[in-house]
Amino acid sequence: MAQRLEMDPVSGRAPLILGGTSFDGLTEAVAAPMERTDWRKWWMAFAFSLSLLGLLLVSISWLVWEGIGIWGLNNPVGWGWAIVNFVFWVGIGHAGTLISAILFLFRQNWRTSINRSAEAMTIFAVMCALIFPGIHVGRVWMAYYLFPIPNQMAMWPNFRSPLLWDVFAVGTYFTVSLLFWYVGLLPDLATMRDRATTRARKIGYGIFALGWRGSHRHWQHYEIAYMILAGLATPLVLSVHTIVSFDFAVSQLPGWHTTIFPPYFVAGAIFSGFAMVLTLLIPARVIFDLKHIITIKHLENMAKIILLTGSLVGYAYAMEFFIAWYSGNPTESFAFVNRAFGPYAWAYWIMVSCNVITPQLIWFEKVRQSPMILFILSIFVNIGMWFERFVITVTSLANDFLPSSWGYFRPTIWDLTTFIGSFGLFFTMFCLFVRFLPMVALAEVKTVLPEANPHYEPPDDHGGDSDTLAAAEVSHA
Amino acid sequence: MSDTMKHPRHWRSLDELAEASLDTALAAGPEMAAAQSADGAAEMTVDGVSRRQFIALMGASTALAGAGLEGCIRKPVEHILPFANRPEYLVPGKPVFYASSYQLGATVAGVVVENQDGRPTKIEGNPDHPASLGAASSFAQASVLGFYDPERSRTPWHKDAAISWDAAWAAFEEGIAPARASGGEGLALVVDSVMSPTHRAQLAELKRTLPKARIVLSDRLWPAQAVAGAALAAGPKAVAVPSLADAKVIVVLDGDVLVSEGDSTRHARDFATGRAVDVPKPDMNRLYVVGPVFDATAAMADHRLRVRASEVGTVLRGLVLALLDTPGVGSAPGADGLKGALGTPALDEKRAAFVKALARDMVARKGQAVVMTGERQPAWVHALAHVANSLVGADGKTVSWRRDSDALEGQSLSELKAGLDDGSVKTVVVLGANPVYDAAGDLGFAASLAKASFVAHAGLYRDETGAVAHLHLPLAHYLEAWGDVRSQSGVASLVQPLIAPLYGSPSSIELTARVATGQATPGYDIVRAFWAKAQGGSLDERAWRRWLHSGLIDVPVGGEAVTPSYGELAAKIPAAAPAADGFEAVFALDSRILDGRFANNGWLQELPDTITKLTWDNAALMSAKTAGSLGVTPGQMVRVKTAAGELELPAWVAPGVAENTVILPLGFGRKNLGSVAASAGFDVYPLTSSASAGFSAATVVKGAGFYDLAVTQTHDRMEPGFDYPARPLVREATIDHFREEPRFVEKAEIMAAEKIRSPFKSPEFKAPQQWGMSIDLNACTGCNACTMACNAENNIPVVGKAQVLKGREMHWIRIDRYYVGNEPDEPQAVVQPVGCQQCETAPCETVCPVAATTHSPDGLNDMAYNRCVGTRYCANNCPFKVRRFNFFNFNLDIDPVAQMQKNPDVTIRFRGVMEKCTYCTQRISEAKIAAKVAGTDVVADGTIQTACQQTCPTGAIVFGDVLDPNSRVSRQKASPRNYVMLRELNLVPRTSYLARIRNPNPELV
Repeated sequence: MAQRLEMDPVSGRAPLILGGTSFDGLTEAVAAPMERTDWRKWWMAFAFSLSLLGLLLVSISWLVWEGIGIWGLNNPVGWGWAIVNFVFWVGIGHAGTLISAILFLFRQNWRTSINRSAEAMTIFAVMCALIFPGIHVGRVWMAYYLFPIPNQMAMWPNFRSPLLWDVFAVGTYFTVSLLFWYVGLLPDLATMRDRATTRARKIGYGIFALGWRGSHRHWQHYEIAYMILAGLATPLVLSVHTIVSFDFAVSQLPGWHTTIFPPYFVAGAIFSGFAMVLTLLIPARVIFDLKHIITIKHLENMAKIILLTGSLVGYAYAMEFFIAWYSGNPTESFAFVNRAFGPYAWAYWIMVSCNVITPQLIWFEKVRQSPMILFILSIFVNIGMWFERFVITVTSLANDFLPSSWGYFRPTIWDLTTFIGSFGLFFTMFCLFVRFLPMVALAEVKTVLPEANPHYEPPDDHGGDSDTLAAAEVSHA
Repeated sequence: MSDTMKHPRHWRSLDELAEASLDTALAAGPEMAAAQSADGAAEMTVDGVSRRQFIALMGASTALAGAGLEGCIRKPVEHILPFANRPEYLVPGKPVFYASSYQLGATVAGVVVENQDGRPTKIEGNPDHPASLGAASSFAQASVLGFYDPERSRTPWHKDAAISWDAAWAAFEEGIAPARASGGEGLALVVDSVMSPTHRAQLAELKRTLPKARIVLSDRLWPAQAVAGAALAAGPKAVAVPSLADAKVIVVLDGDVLVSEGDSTRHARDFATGRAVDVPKPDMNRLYVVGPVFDATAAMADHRLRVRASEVGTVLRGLVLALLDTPGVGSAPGADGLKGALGTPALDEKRAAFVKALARDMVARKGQAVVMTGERQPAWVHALAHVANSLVGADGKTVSWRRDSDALEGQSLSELKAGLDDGSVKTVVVLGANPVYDAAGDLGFAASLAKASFVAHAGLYRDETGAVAHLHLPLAHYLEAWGDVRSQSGVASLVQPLIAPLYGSPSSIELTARVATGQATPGYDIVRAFWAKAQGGSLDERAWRRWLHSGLIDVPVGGEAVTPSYGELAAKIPAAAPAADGFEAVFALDSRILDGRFANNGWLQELPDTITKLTWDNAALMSAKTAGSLGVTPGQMVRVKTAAGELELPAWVAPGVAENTVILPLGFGRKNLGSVAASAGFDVYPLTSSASAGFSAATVVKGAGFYDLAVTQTHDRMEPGFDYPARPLVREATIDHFREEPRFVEKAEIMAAEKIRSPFKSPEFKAPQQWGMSIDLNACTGCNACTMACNAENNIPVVGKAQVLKGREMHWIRIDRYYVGNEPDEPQAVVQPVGCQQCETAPCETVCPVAATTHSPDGLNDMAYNRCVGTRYCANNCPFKVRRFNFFNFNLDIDPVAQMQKNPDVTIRFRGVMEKCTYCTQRISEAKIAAKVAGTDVVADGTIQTACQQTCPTGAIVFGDVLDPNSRVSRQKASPRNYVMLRELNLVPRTSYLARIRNPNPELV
């Protein structure tokens, strides 16, 4: 590829942003699509997402009105799609936090092109996730019992229950992610405010920009706040899914009660999250003409993480089987043999094919560099990771200790509509995001341009560009 | 058990059941009936009772108490519970208990009925009654729900229009007056099993006054073959009453004698007592079961011979011949002459060895052996079984003979049909029977009945017969009527009403009096008059009160001695025929709804059959091999054709059923009976023939399509499709193995006891008494009475077939059934009742995020419904899967009448809430309060009985204080057979099990 040979004149490495884009060009590339007037395609996408969101609301209303029985749950299988969807969505969120926090701390500059959308994805995924534990309880109107609210009964929730830990873990995660995202947005919101051509935009962005003027003090505080939040978010990447995995690991059900769950869940979460980032960004970079910002290299990097985490997940699958056998515990080994060969074998093999076999294709450079193949592959991973949670949740419950109580879970139409509806919420939020907020972190991405480096010298033009100066200050800070 | 339970109180104020009760409280329905019982409080809970109605009811109560205000709307009827002047013993909210009796076919059981503020809510066995011994069958337990069935007939019907009682009586009188005037000309009175001495006397009197009238007996539960068989052996009206109390070798020929047939409650108790092994010198009985059906009795067998129904007689021939050849056998009068008649039965090697060993075993235990025959077998088989009994000296020991001198000699339905066809019967009065539904299919009874000019039907439901009758009258339930019964063994007991008739319905004896005299006579008067006459003219009031109190009529049984003799029997035994090829259809009473009389009872419909675990339906049960040869899988339709008719119904593979046999449970496929019965199952009566009630030759072919059968075990695909190690959930051993290794249960453990360690401190339980339970699997027959008692006690909702199909049944205690053995069609089976195990380190408690389930100081795993938000995490983490979730609001639309059954001591659970067995915590609390009031904080052992324990016919369930080493539960837990399920999880369950012991015949092993 010709472009790749063109090195960054300062670092001597391949440039992260292609096409010799200037600061202004970047701003234009990201902000202009939000300011255009022809939104017909967007409206179509939005209407579609909104109708799915409506489906979610209908499903939830019917659920609250009629009862949990509208789902396919039964006596042995007390948790079904709701919990599967919850873990699925929480897991997806993890990629965003990993990209924005961990990769930030590790100075992985390539993250700047994708962190904004990945973080947005995190927020929306966690919103989707939060719905499910809320609605899956039998008496939704009493769900506040889960919160440690002082009350006349002098009753605390049960702090020994992993479900309670979940409440705290996911709640914290959502709060920190939202703050982190918002702080990162501030300079860009100000840019949007300054570019605004309508009064509504001016006021709207103005309010949310919190009076950002790009002063040195602002930048200094911003950088510190961003760093602290990145530091806070980093452990959450590990802790949230660890605690979600405790929902299973702390119980004594064969197939749930495993010490490998925390790392296994975290790896799985990052795996699924990156797949979802690919699913979203591969079309977006085409639609919004951001191919020079979200480059093949970005996709390739993400694909490599998918390969790594996918292999970790595959290792965990194998290790579960080994330990089940090695433990000598007959119910434990039964649970795993049953997964692979029992009534749910179909689900298990879907999971294995999607999660273990498919990612191995990423070893091939051609696959890594083909957005189309990566897109398809990411869909496979999404499916596989949903099935992973299904296999863990449902197969373990359906066939546990007493064969007399074994059952089989069959989803109903309402299981399906609730799940599809949650995508409605996700895409509705994403549609609003791409319309009103810069999809790429402008302020951050500018810092990785060669021009932002103090040692950068424009090849022919020595004129002091104000954008260059501002960015240079950023990198000093 | 409270004081009132030990000393059941009887009614003092119920003096007369005035005829006014028949006349007045009719279309007004429950309010009126309640006002009669002056039990306003009970009705106040009914939704939609307005303040105005409330005042009206209170006014009515006051008026009643005012005694006889002329000019009122209603004449004062007898007051059962006059609230305005509250009886001293009646404390609102505190139940009182009354002794009564329950009859099912020829089976009679003494019951004690719990009465909550004037509403009967729960049935227990009467400990003083020899046929119940404190236990109640699942049918008796469920009868209270039947009483409050909102779809019971409430008003009389005349030609498809609901009419008033006045109009009904006028029509009734008009219909039968001509027959009465002509000495009963053209009149047929169709009755069900008549075990009431009063009713029998009435019918005898009716025969005298109306000599031309016919009395017809129509009841599928009437043991017609047993009666005929006894008559063949010992003359008319002879009754043979087997007893297992001292039986050591028990042979059951094709009958579910421990669960659903005959005196099963008593037999089960005696059987279990005879199997005790934790006694100083255990002498276990041995059960041999021969027959085509793998029912609960067959599952208890030490040896089972799987033969087709028609071959049972052949095996019995072989057994009698073998007995005659066995050295040391006793003699029976006339038995020697039978040899020729018995011929040479065609027995293969296995069967020949079986009868030979069995004969030796029986002779070895002479005087302690008994052969019992099921009702499906023809009379000659019953008679031949009596020969076997006589040969081993059973008469007077394990079989007692008596002459049922006042037994009703009714005509059969075939005779009635002939009468209807030739025009000699014009007027038919049906009392409690339902011949249009349950007559044999080849009779075409409905068509013949249409020829009658007047048909009156009295029944609990406007059923198939009621629908075609010219006049239908609601019949009183036994909980609202006076009566009496005498068991086949001669024990007489009283039936007393617990409430005024809900719909003003008359009882059978009142109706019979109507037929005879045209006048209304209160049942109370009729019963008292009969017993006064039986006592020689006057009834001692003290005796009457004593009878009411204990339920038992303590008069001598009497009757002449009967000895069987078999001189005439040879002629009655059909020539030995080789086994016929082709299929056989066996018509079995359903283990839950019997002949269909409980078809509209949701508790029983939803109760899983002990062995098949089928609910809400019947199916053609067949062995795996037969299903394979037909090419059908479970749920696939099959077409069964007999000489009488044909029918398509779903097949179900039931291991243990004889080859080329389909078992067709009776009682389903009811039409227009009620919403519960509406779509449940398939009516197999059209396949039955009057010649052979129990089984007939059939052809079976694969039908079209599938049918969803709701089973509570193996919901859907349960088997993973590969072999996996057996789990030691139910443990068993042979008696010899047990003797060699008393702690054999320990060997089955996955983890040695010393290896089970916990990093955590064990929880401390500070209460002075710690509750625990022990369930003896050696005694449990899986009869389901516990499940039913639990339903009644704990207000457990019926969820319906659709929910059972999804696996959402709500039973707090279930019977797990596991087949044993490697051959799919020659299985043994074990059953295990599983309720909440009340683990000390309960896994459900730690995971509940809102602390809705926590431990009580006395070791109970409590459930706070109000706190539960329904995460279902507890159920997920329960390894015994005993927690039940309210997926919908199953209690949303309870009919106001059905609400009256609910136990006020137990919360009705809302949707979204988890529930489970509580060891009947309301009973524990009641006893603890009583103990506190009495000045102690220790409840005496045996005072608290859980509902399941109290009703268990075999006494398999024992509950009590595990801290007290002398409590019954502690002693039972000290047995070497004691184990807990899943010990390796270190949950320390308070419920433990005693392993099952089998007693195989060494000759047959």
